[in-house]
Amino acid sequence: METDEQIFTKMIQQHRNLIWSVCSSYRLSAAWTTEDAFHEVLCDLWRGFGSFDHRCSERTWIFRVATNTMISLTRKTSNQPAPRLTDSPDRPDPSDNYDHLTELIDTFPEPDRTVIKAHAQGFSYKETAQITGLTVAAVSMRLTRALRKLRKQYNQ
Amino acid sequence: MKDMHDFDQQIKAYSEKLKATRYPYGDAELNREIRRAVWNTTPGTIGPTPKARHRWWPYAAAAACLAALILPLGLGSNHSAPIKNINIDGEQVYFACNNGCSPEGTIETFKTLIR
Repeated sequence: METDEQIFTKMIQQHRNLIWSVCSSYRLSAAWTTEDAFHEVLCDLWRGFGSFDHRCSERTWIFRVATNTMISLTRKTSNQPAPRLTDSPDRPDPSDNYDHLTELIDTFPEPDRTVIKAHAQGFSYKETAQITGLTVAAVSMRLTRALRKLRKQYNQ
Repeated sequence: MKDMHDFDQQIKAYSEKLKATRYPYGDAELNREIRRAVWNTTPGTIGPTPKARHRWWPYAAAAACLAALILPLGLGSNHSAPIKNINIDGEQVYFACNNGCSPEGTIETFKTLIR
């Protein structure tokens, strides 16, 4: 019989890349590293693990918790100086326009920002609806509008 | 039309890079992080907060103080037994209990012991 901690550990091992990806896609103040954010997300996941009812997939639940933690951290540290994305060595390869797009997406209000990031991570409309609490139709509409707005800003 | 195609390509590249992001540490580090998160968030446990994790020295200092207090008295000895012999040499106290142990310590620790 596995303990909760053993089940939790297996789940995190399986989804470590997703968690790290979410953590590294937000800009925090210079005092926070991706490792710090990763630890905060793990703490929140463990706090919520007991009440996880499996109504959505583990991947969807993890993305939702990680995103909410990162939004909360971003708000908390918003009055502190933020480093440029390229200052951090643990982010994905900053070639092409990855940084430019990340900076543009970061300027979007919630839940549009989460809808775009969930779309980029490959979540379906239904899963994105479970993540954001919106309806599937609302997700579709918001994503279309947000991408249109992003394209406009990107081409300027 | 060209702009739209270019943008779609960029979004696709952004998405691929996001999905290709890998946790940069090994299994051992990950398991340690998980244990630390569980330890820090389980009620009733005391642990350093994430931002204090590099401040290990208060814990080391507390452990050193505790060791300095306990070790001279002989950890695990039964000092509830009557003391049969006391020898005070300056600040240092040597004494023997009826159960055979013969710890030593400073006068202050000796006072704490017999209190």
